[in-house]
Amino acid sequence: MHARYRRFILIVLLPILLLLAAGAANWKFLKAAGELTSIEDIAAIQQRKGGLYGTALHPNVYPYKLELFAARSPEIVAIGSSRVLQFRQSQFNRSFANLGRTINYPAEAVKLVQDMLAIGTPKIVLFGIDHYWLNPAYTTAPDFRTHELRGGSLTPDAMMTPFRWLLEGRVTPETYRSFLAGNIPVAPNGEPLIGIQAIEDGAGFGPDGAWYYDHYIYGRRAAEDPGFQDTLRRVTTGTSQFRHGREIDADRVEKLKTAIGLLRQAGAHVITFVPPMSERVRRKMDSLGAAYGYAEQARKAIAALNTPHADFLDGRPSGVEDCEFVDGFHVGDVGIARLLLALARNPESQLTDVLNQEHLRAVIEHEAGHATSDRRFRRNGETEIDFLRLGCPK
Amino acid sequence: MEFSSYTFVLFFLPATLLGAAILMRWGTQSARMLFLAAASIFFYAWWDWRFVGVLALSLIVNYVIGLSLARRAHKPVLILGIGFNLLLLGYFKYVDFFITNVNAVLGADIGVLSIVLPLGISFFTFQQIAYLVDVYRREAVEHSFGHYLLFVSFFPQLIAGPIVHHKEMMPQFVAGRAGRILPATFAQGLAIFIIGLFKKVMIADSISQFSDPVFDAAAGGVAIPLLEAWGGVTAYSFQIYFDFSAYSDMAIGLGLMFGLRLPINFNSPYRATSIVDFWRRWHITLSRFLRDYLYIPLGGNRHGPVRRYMSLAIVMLLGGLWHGAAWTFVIWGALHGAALVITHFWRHRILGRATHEEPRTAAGRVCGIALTLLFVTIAWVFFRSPDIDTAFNLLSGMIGLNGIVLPHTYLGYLGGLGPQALEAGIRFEEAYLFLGLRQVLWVLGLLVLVWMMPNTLQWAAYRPPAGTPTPRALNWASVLRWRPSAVWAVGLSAASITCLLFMSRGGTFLYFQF
Repeated sequence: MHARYRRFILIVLLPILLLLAAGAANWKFLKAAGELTSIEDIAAIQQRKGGLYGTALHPNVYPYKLELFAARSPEIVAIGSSRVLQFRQSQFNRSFANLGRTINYPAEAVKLVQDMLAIGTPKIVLFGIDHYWLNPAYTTAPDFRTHELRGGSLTPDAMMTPFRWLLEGRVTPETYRSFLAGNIPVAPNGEPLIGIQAIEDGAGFGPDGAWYYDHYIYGRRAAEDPGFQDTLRRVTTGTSQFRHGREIDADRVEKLKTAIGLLRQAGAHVITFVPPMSERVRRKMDSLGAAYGYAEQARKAIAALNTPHADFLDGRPSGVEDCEFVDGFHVGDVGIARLLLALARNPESQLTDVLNQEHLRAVIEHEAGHATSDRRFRRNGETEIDFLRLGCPK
Repeated sequence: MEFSSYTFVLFFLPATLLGAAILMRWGTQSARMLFLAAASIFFYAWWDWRFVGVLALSLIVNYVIGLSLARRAHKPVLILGIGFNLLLLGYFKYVDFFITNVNAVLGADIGVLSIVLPLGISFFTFQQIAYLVDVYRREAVEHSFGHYLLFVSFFPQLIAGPIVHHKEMMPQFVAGRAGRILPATFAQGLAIFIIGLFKKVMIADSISQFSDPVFDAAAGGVAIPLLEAWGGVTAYSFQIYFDFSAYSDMAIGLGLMFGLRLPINFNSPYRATSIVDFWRRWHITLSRFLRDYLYIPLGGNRHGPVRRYMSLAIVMLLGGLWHGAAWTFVIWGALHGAALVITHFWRHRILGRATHEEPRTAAGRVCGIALTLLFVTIAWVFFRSPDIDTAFNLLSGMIGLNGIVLPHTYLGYLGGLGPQALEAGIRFEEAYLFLGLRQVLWVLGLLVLVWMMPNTLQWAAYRPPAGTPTPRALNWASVLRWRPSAVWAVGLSAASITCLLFMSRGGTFLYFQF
């Protein structure tokens, strides 16, 4: 009698044990792909050899960016959400680091500033402030635990993830085998690719911390926001960053003041700006009237922070067009070139001398209507396509 | 540590089983029980070790009061004990709710305390109130501290029930079953646990993609149109069903693996033919607690219909409040209370039948099941909504006050009827919150599962502890009943591997918040 039950238990558990044992192969796969490399090592490799870091496993952007900041000791930094990730070293003639995607809320801005100043003080801080940060309905609390992730550790979830990627077709069996055999591709320019996303998609952070959207821009993967439909969905349904709200939260404004105050106290020159939304998305938000009642108040409150400031929510006066976006609310580096020149026109910004104006003007002249002008990691023969399906001539 | 987390499945559970197995071979019965209690407290501390103090305080005070009541059934001591429990629960769960309402009513500006709710406090508090009353009534007669410690802390039931009775567990402890891992019960427990895990990971967490955006949008003030509102609310109805069903299965499965039988807490509630029947199937041990320790002391059915109806309404209001300190839960409880009163009135006064009597015809049964599910689903709107405005927004959508929007692609499918639909005010736009055929198929598939298929405990022919309700035995599907066969083993192994692969995307069990 007991033998039947024992056999049953064995048949149930044996494949599970085998699966867990096969996790050892996943460990090798992930290690080969650089997913288990520590962020200290990644930052050091990128400063030494260049390269692209795109993890598909660890939400470790915050500590990674601080490592990058420590490794580069830049004079200029851009801080903010993912919407400032297209500021690049090539746009400046002084050392620069992009600390974008480290701040999702004013409270997180205070923490980033404190953590950054504990390492060093940049001379100029370009602080991109998303106006929806001040909407009290935008409530998903920042997960400060991710600030402590160092990378390099193998969690049970990570052990299973490559199997899931194989099932979902995100990684092909050939790639999996090839990685196990130690054949890790490098970028066409010879720079290293670290992390599955960088290797498979060509998406990730460059050595300056700026993000490369090559997977969408060159059509390697379908864009997530064709026709800005996903962003428009968020606007219509009032979800994620686009929660509806009528009033701003005064406490959040105070947090921004604290962050700016700390930077100033340390001797940094702070320039604030509101990043642009695509015209279609902005129009949709406007059409919803009171649902975004907080927006105007937020923009006024940000403008009153007593810093050199520019509000680019409507990017048109600076020449930004929808074809220069990566999705409904992330403008590409061509658009950023326009914003930088616009910012520099304000003498208080003190940007005139530190901008690579010749490069920026050339970008605007030759790359208008494109999402990127940076082809550092482009694969052979690729050209930017109309990945948003907006009818953009490319 | 969720039952559906890697930490639990790959580390905590195997380690605890191994420890119990070692002690089964080389240790004493007391050592096994102590080990299980220690593992349970470690499990509890995993969330926040600071709350172990709250659990310990509650446990020790109740044990001491229980001892006192065992020596002498003194009513003031019982009241003191119940008062202590209610005070503890009230402080952690209801103080901020009370302050907010005082501020609203009196225009005061008392600061809320932002107290964090210790996990499972509603469950272990009720369990211990029941214990004290049972001791007072001389229904609980065994008072070993080791047994009591495990009775309260046993990890499969600590966080979200079932709310077990002392008399259900003590005979098993005395018989030395705790931590006794036997092939037959382990195999059955493993099967039930895997089915529960599959329900949680692959069904409950999957269907939340249809419900969460709708409730979030409604909370953000978006006027939810008819189709989206029904789609989101129906999806939530199935999400909470499978979530709680999954947790209940996993708790029973875990209990069995460690040699203990827990009472059934969930018995195909969407097959209930009335709201009375629903509460005999949904969260059975909570219903039992409310009946035995609240409804009956309030007079039950001993003082005429009016008193009975009042008692029912009070019990359900408090049952609603037990789920959460918010007016939405109070309304949810009130709706269920009203439905119970109407059902009792209808059956007793109009039909002249006993309340528990099943409908006599097949048509009556079908109507009863459909109406009950419809009512329960509508009531869930209050249960899930973060505030009353959100609930009314969705209810307005469900009765068509927010208009009807169909995916714009449907206009083509309608052919000649398209212009008429437009004329009738139907808008054809991007229906962002309704995912079309995929969503409809999900709901239909789940409806078939809950209405037509046996439930896990029927599949597994689970035998609960003596004196507790047992699910009806399988009839037509008995050939498919769980057996320790290779076919079942392979199927369950495949299910568990699927769960292991997709476990990380899951969310917390909904009942953990209570």
